[in-house]
Amino acid sequence: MECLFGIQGDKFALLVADTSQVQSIVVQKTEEDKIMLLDSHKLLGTIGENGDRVQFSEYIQKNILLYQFRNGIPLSTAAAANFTCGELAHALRKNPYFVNMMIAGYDSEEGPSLYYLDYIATLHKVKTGALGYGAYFVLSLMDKYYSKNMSLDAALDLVDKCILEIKTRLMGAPPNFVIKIVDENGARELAWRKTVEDINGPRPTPSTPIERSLQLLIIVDGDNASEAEGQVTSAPCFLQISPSVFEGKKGQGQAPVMSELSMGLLGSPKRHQRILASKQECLGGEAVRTEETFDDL
Amino acid sequence: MSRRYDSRTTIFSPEGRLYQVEYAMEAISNAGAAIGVLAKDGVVLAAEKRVISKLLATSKSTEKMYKIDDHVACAVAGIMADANILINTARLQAQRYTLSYQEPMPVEQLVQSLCDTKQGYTQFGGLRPFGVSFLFAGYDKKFGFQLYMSDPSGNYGGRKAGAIGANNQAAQSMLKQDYKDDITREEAVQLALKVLSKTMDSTSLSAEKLELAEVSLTPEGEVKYRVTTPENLNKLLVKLGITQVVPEEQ
Repeated sequence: MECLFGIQGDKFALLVADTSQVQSIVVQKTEEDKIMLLDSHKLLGTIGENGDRVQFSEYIQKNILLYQFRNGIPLSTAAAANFTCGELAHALRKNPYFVNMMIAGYDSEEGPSLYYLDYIATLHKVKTGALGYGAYFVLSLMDKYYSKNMSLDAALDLVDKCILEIKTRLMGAPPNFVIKIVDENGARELAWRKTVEDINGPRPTPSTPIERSLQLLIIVDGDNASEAEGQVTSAPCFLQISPSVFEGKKGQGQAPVMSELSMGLLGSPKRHQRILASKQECLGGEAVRTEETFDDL
Repeated sequence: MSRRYDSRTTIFSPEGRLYQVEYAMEAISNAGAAIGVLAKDGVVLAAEKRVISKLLATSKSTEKMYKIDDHVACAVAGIMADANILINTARLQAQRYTLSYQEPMPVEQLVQSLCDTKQGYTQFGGLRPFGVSFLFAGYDKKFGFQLYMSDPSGNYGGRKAGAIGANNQAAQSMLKQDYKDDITREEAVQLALKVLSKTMDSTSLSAEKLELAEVSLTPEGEVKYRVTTPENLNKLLVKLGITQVVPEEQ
């Protein structure tokens, strides 16, 4: 049950979005950021089909940046909103994107502005706006409590009222929300409203070659790696290494790193050791086994 | 054969020149002159109309000034047939931009898009370059009033004052001498007409041989393009002392 809403205040505009990724009855994720920074002074909040959402918003973001590189001046918020609307309308009768959007921006001449854009390419310039199931509850609240040129504090109060109402009244209300702001200092994240903490979250994907290599079985052989090949058995010893051990070694490739390491840790380069290091253990902390313990093996 | 490097537009000569492009520029320096002057509150375009034959019915509208969008106008020197094509593409570009972004196209972008078209004909073979130079006068929110000058090679540049067409060298050196920063639109008109009267071949200057247009802002902040009527132009010429008496056709 997605929620996206925005408020234009005095010299700023806010966008608020839920951060749940839902598939069928399963909540896959509760920290999905649905508000994108289009450029230094523009925000694009999107809800809808998740694939479309990401694809379309990145397409818009990249085109807005392309415009900036080509012409040396940024698009105004109005121009960006109309461009987005045009792209959506163009796709509508060919290959439609199911994405609803709110666009917030700040221009030096115009000040803050807020736009409502739904998946059938209806574009409105608004002071407040809401999309998704949350809109059923939030629109009336904003009608009641919105005032022209409201301060940031007042606007945040209203945002909290809206979130509370969604959580009270909306079936399957999303637990977490992100609030972003755009003003003369630029577009940025302002706050989160969380009731569920993604404690473990998805495990970070290995990014560096070193990290990736640590997921594998590593054969440490001071002199001759090929000799040890094929002799991998359920290894008799485990080496726990903290990634910081490798900090200085990045980009040098695996073999020299490991041979140096085996020398340093074992003190006897001639002695062939098979060491199995799993990534999990590597991320565990400092190297726990000392030279002594290896000698025991 | 002496023709070796000048028969193709897209081939460099050993000295590194593109002869066809240079010939196109040469063609323009025989065409009627046009002058543009940037003022703090507007842009002024003035152009010489060449009356070739007495039998020619002069156009009711302007011959050398064209409005491209509400906020951009241009003056032309060169082959008019070529110019019409380019003006058409410029108008198209401006409207396409408005369709995409719902706001007027920044002037430099419009000039650049047109010059990209021009440039194409100096690089891709088989076709001749456009024999046209333009002076663009325009206004946009970001950079205010602007004046640009472009040539057949696709080069363009922002100017405070510029001249294209016949005697453009002489006109430009006069402009360089007499131009002052922060002149008003009135002074710019004066300067443009003075320079044009001195560099034109014909001895007497009259509204029949001249066109004058201005881009300015209304008090409401709207961009306005205005072409001076022949009557007003004649009055202006007398007032400025460029023509003593209004010449009358026999």
